Amino acid sequence: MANKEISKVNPSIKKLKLLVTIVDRSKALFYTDLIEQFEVNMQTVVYGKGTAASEMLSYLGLAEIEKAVILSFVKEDNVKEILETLNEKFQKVKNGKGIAYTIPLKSIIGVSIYQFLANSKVFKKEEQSNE
Amino acid sequence: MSNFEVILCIVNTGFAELVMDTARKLGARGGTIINGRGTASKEAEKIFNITIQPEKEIVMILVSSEIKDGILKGLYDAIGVNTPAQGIAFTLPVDDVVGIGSDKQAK
Repeated sequence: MANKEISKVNPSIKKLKLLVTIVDRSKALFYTDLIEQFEVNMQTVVYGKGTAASEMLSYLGLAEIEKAVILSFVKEDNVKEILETLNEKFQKVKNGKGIAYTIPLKSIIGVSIYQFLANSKVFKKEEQSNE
Repeated sequence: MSNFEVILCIVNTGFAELVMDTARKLGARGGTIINGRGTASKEAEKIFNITIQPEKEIVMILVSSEIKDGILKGLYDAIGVNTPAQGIAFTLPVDDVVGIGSDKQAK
């Protein structure tokens, strides 16, 4: 209940989203570095396997079957910019084809964790104790 | 611009291909498999004094909302809890998608 209202109480609190980026494993570092430029403090890379049908593979340029799933916490305000940048790279970078989407986060616990993930220092000491 | 949702399907190791075959038959285009480890049977581990590490596979499939229900139903029948795959499947809402053409998705 409370977290629904919190952005109204304090408009400086921005919602977070989980950005999921699926790219070739060899490009994982390239994309984490790219996303990091947008005030993203934490990212996790999970290795996975792609399963696109083989005739589809060449069609989409997804030749490599070994994939990296990059999970990044991003501020809602930055999502558009990040996705536009990613989309551009998906099309321009050789073997850089991928998929990216965001999942809205419902709740999060811990003020310092939020600050870390959102790269913000909006809270004052007194407010922290209230949270 | 069609809306997308991501299906997460957790099955016993070895059944990810079955998940993808089922999903593909019902209109999905591709998925990503991640290895995981289930942690469901803590009590059983204590009672029998053994360690069970059930290996799981998580399949992530990005699909449009229109075909989501059909795929979930298909997955429930093919890899549900009553099958050897002992799978569960659910979807998460997805806000913005790039890298997958909505025009191609429609076909």
